[in-house]
Amino acid sequence: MEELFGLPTIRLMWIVVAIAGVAAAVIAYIFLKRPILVRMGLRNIPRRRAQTVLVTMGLTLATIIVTIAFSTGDSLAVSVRNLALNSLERIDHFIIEEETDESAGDAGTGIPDQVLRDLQSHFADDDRIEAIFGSRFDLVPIEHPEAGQIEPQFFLVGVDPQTIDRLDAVRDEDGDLLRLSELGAEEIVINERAARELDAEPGDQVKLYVLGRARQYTVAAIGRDAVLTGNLEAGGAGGLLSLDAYQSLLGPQLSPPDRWDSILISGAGGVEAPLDFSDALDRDIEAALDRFERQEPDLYLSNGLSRYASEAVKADSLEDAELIASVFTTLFLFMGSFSVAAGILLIFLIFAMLAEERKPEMGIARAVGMQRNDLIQMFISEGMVYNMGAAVVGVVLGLLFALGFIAALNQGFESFGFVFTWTVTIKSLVISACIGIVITFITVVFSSFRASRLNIVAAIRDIPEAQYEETYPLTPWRVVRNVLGVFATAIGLVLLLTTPITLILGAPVALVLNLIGSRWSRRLIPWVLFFGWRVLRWNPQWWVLFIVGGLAVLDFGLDQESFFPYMTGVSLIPLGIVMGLNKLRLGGRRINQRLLYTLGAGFVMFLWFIPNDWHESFFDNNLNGGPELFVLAGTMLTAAGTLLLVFNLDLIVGGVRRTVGGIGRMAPVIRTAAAYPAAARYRTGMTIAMIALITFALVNFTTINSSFSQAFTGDDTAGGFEVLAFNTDVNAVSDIREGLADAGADEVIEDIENAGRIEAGPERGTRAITILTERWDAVTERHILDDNGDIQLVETDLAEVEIDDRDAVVIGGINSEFVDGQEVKLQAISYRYEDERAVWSALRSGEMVAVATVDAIDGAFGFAGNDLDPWSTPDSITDEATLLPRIVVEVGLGENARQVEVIAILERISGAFVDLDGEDGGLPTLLLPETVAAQVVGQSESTRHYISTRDGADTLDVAQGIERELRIFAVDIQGELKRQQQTQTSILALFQGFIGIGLVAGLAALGVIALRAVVERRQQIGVLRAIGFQSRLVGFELLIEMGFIALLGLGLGTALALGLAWRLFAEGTFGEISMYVPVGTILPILIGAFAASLILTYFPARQAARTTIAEALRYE
Amino acid sequence: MSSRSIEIDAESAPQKGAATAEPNGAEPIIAASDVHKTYAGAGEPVHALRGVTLSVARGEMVTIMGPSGCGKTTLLNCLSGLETIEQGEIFVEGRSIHDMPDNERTDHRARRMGFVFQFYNLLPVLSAVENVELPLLLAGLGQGEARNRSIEALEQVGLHDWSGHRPAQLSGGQRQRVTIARALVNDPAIVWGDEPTGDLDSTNANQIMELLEDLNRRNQQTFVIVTHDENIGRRANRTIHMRDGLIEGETVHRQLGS
Repeated sequence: MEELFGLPTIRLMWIVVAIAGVAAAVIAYIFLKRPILVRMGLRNIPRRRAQTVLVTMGLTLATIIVTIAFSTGDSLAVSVRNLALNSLERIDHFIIEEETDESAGDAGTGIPDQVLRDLQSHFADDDRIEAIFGSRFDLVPIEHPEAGQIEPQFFLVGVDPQTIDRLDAVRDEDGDLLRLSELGAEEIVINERAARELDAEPGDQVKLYVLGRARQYTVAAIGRDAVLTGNLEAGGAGGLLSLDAYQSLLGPQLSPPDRWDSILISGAGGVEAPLDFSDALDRDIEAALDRFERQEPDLYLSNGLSRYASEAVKADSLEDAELIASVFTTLFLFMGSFSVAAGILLIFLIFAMLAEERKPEMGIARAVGMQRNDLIQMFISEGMVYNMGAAVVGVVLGLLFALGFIAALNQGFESFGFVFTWTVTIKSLVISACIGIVITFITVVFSSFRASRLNIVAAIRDIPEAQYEETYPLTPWRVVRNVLGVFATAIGLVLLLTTPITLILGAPVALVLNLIGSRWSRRLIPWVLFFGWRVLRWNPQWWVLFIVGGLAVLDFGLDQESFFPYMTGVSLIPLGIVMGLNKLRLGGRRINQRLLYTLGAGFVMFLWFIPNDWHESFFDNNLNGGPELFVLAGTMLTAAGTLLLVFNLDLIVGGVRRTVGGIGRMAPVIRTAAAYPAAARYRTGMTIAMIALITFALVNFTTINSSFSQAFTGDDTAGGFEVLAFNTDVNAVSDIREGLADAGADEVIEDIENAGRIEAGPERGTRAITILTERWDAVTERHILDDNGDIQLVETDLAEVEIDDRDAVVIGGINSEFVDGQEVKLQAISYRYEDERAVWSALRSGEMVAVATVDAIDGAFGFAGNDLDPWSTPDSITDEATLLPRIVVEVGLGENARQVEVIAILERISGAFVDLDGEDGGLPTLLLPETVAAQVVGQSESTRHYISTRDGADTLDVAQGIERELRIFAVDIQGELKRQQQTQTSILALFQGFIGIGLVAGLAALGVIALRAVVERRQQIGVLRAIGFQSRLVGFELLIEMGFIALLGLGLGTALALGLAWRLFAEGTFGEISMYVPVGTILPILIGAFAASLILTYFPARQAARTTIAEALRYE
Repeated sequence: MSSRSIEIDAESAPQKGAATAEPNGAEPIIAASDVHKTYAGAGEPVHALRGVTLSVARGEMVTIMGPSGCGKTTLLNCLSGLETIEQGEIFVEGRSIHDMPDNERTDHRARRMGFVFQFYNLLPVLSAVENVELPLLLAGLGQGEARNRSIEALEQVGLHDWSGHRPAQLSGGQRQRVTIARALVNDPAIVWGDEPTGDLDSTNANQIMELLEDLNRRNQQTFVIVTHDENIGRRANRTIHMRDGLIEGETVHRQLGS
């Protein structure tokens, strides 16, 4: 992978290596200057082994996540690159027909031979090009009678054998060269995929069917899956004939001898060498084609509608490989950022607890003269040993996880024919390890600062700090110092990241150079600024940082019209205000903390749950955002939600006690179990936040993905049909019943209820010439139908207007059986039609009417964003998306042109069946009565059969029967949808697994807390046992306590995730897709996480239960 | 010290390692004979009790005294069933405490015993009244009744107004009163005290002892208290003196019921 976030990865590597080097230098400095501090730090490591394991677990998270992301990215980059190189082999450029705005009926008829000869002649002396040659291809059904296998969509390629042999362009499955000139007239090379599908091997006899006639060929060899062997899309079955054999099979009608389907260009020097000059050659080919166009417009622009263009297919494919890798890495890093955040929280928590545990000894150390800096250095030393160990473990675990992910990806994409190879580069390893080290180092440093802030007396007496809380009067100078510190640090950090060289040199040098005006000073000034943190060091006023920083990023967000900084700002400011008010004393009394934090956190949540429009209209701004908002939303909502919970924990605990606290002898257990978390807000809050953060990511991601999956692979998408079959131009079956009757397949006919059909015109072959529509304006009175079918009086002005901005659409002619069999939902119908039945009835009776896909309305007819938007209906109509004004479009060319009225719009999801695996997938489509379509497009180019089966019929049998008897591609729609669902489910599970890694942090936190609880409550456990707690109740109490925290985290994360998802769906972020909560997926995740938390707590709980009473009572 | 107390010097003890006092022929509530307890530490095993025999009468207040490490606390722990013994027998209210399974022994402690420790050992996350309630809830009382009785117990120790406070908000003396209320709330037959005044100043210590004496007199509960303080020792009916894991002798300060 060469680039990430727009940065070259090599540069990224040097940046993180430099920062990691700084970390190493800090440790080396401490070790050399104060080795005693390092020794004091390190002696703690073997003292508590279980704790050491949990600490290391927490620290490994960041490294694991980054390693997985980079290794997966590398694997994808290399796999997709190899796939492209193996598939294209010696093919570097395609000459293709390019659509223009004016494209129409004549497009897609092939490239004239003259174009090939012109190019060959023009580049005859160009030593960058080894060959320019034409190729022909088509979808031809193939049968392997001996094995009883048929492949209706076999991609047959015909090329000149001498040229191919000269290029060494086709290899067999073992990588050995195949000589095409040795192929006999009745011999064929099939690719690996075809060999698998047909169960064929060299020497077998296969039949190719063209226009119903079969011709037999012998399989001469199995060719490697590649473009020249018909593997145009990964996983496609295909084969290769010599050009003469191809021509002989398809004949002049289907394959005119003076036309090519594509022109291929092979660069000189092998497979990869032409990439060096690919861009330049591409420009030269384009220039040549431009010149030809000017010289011979009659040939090159004969129909005035399409032109020929060069496509640097190999270079583009490799760029795509890079892009895919970069996108996946970024996606993994985004998803993983939740886990990294949870890992950081875990480090904070662990260090806070380590500090708590060692408080008395640290207090004594401080009392006898140890500086605060010494404590910090001691903690950093200890932390960095964990860090180094965690980096190694993290990289190894990350690589193993990545290996698992690649295996899972291979399983998920198996049906698509992709095979990913697990790969990792040294560069990625270095980046992963260093990023892990750097993240941990920064966290450890901050944690150490926090841990070192202790009151000596309170520490020695091991009593709460709150009793010795020092107050810092808020002087103007302190405020100024904080504001300056915030800006200096921020600017310094930004500059540091952009000028990594400064990391190598020290700040003092920077200062001197700056003073003497050296040219290096510009690069080194950031160091000076970076040390602005020194200003902050003593008692930083974080509320100032939150408010000032929040205002700054809010302003930046508004300026850049970006939601990310804007939402960061609006979230930080209320929290900053709350933190500031918390310091305020009114008449010597604090403002009620619960009130403050409840209001502040509640307000932040409110800001995240209101629609984006409210934010935009408040500041009269148009804000944009991407997937990064998902991470921000998770972080801010979890922070706010956690604050809300921890400052109201006593109320929750009270509620729990009232609800379940009176259950017999469990009452004291529940009482103590609920009381401990409420009394330790910091650790409870941190743990809740960790679990909630990951749960949020998991539930939100799962809900949104499942909603999409449900929408696009749900039953509705089948449109009421069970089997879909495609014709091709070499194998057309116009009437499926007749075809089956001719083949004697009466048993298949019996299972067919409706044989619907769409006769499709040429792809992008028919233009919408004119659009006449009526415009809604609240001027004239008119009667229209509302949702309930009642006539409403509204004021409208249906003025006739014409839209000139238009695009090509595909015309589909539907037969009456299609109308009878369909269960397609309509998103909107013309006010002139009473209901959906009336719409379909008009289509069935052959009126000059049409239904359109949403794409046709939004894109092709230019309504999107237009003031003629048909959705803009009068206010008196409750649901503005259910009524259409009168839209008349003129379709077809010349004397074939007809005006039809668009009387309904297919609901996007329900109408997706029109695009299901179709050749015209994704293109705007108009469905017309078959008779009307025939007038417009003449003979159809392809037919798609939509078949509904009789009750009780096996739809798979029907699909297989059609495929077997008619040799056209047929698919059991429900089976296909299930297959797609399974693929999506397995990919979803992959991402869930990846996000779920972060739960380790939350669970480890519970483990840490539980272990710590056993130690610090030892005496209390002794008392409980003494006054009558059974030993199992002591263990049970700890289990309930940790389970309670886990439930709070899981509940909070789930509630926030579903809340945000609801908001996103409600405001139409995902279009018409409805929110679907996959309870069956989410619940097992939550139960699993809860069970894992109990399992992890079980061991400390058992330890607590086994506490010896007398020993515990003696413990201090 | 009561003027009617009888001082018995060490030499007049019945036998080395035994303290048997059954004044007025009262039924012993605690009877231990030849109790041995050894701690297996990292080095040499420590013989904390090397054959202790004693009995305590119902309603008696007994203090156990001796130098540090003589086995006072170990004896108290063994008698109350907090620790197991290797050899010997201990009968509490006629039942062999060490033959009981752990669950039964725990249950017995919950219903029949109360504990007062030197460092109060209250649960810091619960309020005073909630701490006092725990034994009652463990005994299966309803929450309402448990709360009423706990408040009564706090009234008895003079802390009614502090019932909603957490231990951190109370003084040392107040905390120890809460501990006493917790020890007495389930009306135990025996109250065990391990240096109950050890962490208090003399005024508070005096008040606590007065409270214990008063409760002992009023409720006729048996008190077994480990202490270093001679003054506290003298306030009991009897003081058992220990040295090196053995009972060295006993001093009777006043007869039970006097």
